[in-house]
Amino acid sequence: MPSRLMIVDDSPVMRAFVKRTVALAGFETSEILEASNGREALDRLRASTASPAVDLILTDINMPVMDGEQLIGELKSDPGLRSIPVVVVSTDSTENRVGALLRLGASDYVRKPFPPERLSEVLGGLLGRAGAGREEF
Amino acid sequence: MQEAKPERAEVRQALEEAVLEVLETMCFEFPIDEPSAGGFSGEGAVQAVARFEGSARGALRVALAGEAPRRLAAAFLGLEEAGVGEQEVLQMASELANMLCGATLSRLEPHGRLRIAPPEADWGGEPCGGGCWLRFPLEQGEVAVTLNWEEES
Repeated sequence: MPSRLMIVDDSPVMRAFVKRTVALAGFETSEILEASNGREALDRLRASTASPAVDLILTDINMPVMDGEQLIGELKSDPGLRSIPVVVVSTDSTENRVGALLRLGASDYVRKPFPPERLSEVLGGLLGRAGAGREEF
Repeated sequence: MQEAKPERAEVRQALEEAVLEVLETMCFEFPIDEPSAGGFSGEGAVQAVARFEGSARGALRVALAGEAPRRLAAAFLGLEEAGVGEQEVLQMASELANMLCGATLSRLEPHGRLRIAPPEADWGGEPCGGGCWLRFPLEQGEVAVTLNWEEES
């Protein structure tokens, strides 16, 4: 069954890059929602009538309005959203920060810059299947 | 507490590794020669700066000259060069500064607590001025980077 993903990043070109990488990895998606910060993401998720609202969230950390760390905290304290896996995609890869985010409830961490294979590996693990197009990398 | 300022050779190595990693993994681009260190006028280049603070503070600047801005943006977005607009070039330059800053700092300060502010980019902008830039020649154009690490006052 196709997955519904959400990409949260204040950089439009990075959202486009991640979206393209997901497609190149061959993951079948029925919809990819986008948000430019944590607040916008939460509003869209809470307004969704689907259950779960999305199957997986890919989020940056350093964003205006509401950053990725706050977003994960809000998601994990919301009974309707806490089961959604959250993958952090960020340049901020110091050991302290990564450890803190995983303790907060992030499912995995992808450090930017990343090869497409890395994102494919993480998505495959969390969505339970690999994309048909993986061999294209 | 401010961290000790890294040695120049250490900074150069971190910058060089970061640039090669970012260009290869995100833009599928490889420099055609070894990088050289020196001044850079920045005239006509797209420039972006990513400032950071925390256990250290400073800024990483990147300048894209010649055909590099459109070429890298096109590769990054998977578009033809003709299909890349000026806004997309600036957004790509900002993201490039962000990734280069993160990749460099994670090498210099793997245990640090650093926060990178949203980068700013401009086409042309102020001359880059003096300082030591690391310049990477590409097949069409050039990428130059410099890191300013502020010492404890």
